[in-house]
Amino acid sequence: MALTNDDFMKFLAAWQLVHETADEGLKAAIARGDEQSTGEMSMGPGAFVDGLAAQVEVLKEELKSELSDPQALPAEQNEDLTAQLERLTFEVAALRGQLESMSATLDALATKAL
Amino acid sequence: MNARALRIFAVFFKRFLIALVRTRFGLMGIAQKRAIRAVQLRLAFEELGPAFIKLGQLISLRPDMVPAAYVFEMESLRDAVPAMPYEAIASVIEHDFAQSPDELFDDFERVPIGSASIAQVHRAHLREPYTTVFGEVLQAGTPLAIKVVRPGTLETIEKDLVIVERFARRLDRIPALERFNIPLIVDELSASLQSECDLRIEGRISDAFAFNFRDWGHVSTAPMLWPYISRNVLTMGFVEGYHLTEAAAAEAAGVDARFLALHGAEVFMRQVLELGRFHADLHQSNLIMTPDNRICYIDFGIIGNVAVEHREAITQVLVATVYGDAKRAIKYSADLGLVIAPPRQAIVEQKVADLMARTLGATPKDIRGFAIGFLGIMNEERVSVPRGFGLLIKALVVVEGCAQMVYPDIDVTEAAKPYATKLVARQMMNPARIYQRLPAALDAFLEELVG
Repeated sequence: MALTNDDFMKFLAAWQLVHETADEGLKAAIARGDEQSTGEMSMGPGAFVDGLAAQVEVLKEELKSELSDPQALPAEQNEDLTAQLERLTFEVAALRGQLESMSATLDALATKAL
Repeated sequence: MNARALRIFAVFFKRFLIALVRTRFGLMGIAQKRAIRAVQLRLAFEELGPAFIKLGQLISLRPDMVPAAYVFEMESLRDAVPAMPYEAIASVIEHDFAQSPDELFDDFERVPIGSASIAQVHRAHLREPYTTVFGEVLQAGTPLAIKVVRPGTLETIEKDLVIVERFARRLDRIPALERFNIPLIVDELSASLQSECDLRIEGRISDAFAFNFRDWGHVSTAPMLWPYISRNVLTMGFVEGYHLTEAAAAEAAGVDARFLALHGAEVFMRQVLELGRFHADLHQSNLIMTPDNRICYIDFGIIGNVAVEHREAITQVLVATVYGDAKRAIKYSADLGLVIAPPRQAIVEQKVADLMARTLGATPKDIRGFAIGFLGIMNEERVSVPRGFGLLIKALVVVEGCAQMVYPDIDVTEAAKPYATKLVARQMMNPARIYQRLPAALDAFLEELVG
């Protein structure tokens, strides 16, 4: 049986319909998940999917706002740099603390030696 | 045998006899016998002082090696001893700083606010402003808590350790005790005591904890004042607030105690599953709810570690446990070294599933019952529990205990679900993992499709 132009268009229409239905289903699941209270996620598979969809939606929105900032470096790279800088700053500060402690011990030893 | 060794022997012998009588000369059931013996062992440890109290605390962290009855009994080990006189404490501060407490601080209180076997804590006020490692400026007059190692503690501990090591070597020769690996526990005890007697280590761990939770608005630690910290002295900001048993007073002051109790479960999970290092000495004195709605962690004397290679499996086991999925819990437990012989696999799975239904399927959930039951099943089946796994189970029980101290009806597994689910999702979406698993997934897909 030969495939006509009409068949192909019908296939695309069916494909689009599947996507639209899935999209509407997802939106409805997100809305239901948003309204869930603590513990409701375990009320069955449906409730679990709703809760998960709502959680993923939050992450998606975060990702969208990161990507829409033209000034920003790629999100992951920016995060890495910031985290590295913060860790380094902390390590230097922690080192300063240890030096202060050692300095106090040295002062005590010097005082005793005099 | 010197006098101390004789005393140790006498205390253990006395407790052994009491246990013998109370268990009707061993005629009771195994569970009752264990419970009675565990109580007597705890009392012996309390009687014998710091090294033994520490030994008990270490036993409470090793459900992989010691029967659950002993592990959970050691939780109630009382580490409260009469306070040392001010003069003795002042001599330690003078030794480390060449200045008296009154020269270093304002209003150093003579009577301690807490006294345990290794150290005692006094209140005082800061004399000069100080900037912490996080850039927070503490003004002169800031209230302080000063923890001082009791003089002579290290020497006493070292002497006791020599005796304990000798006993351990002898006990290890008894075949029935071989599987407890007593010399290993004693080695850990020695390392842990050395580190706990050096308060600088505790200060560093506390600061690192504060750094790791810098973005978590409801978590805090006491600020460390490094110029007043030495091996024997730890000076930190005094934390005003409410202990877990004072939830009603906290709520009256506007603290959201219920939220903080639930938040504690997430904080714990992040420590175990992401950071790989966790506060292993959680009890009501080490957690303070502050008036600015935070939960403040203090006393980082005992810390548990989780190896990087175990974190993913632990996450999976934890998620499987909170969702009551026995099969998945057993599957990922194998990655942690929990090896069940194939012919017993289905039986163990069924036993665990029944236990989950009985304890985690009930309302309210009983994590403690699950933990004791699970370790019991492993014991019955002669399955050795790996260290990280045992510690995780134990820590989960402690978190539940802390949360329920605030609100008896709190279900920490419900609080844990969203965080654990997110973490598993993140692990699953890791490109390296997808790359690693893709061929097997495609194989399975094709198998399913074409048969």
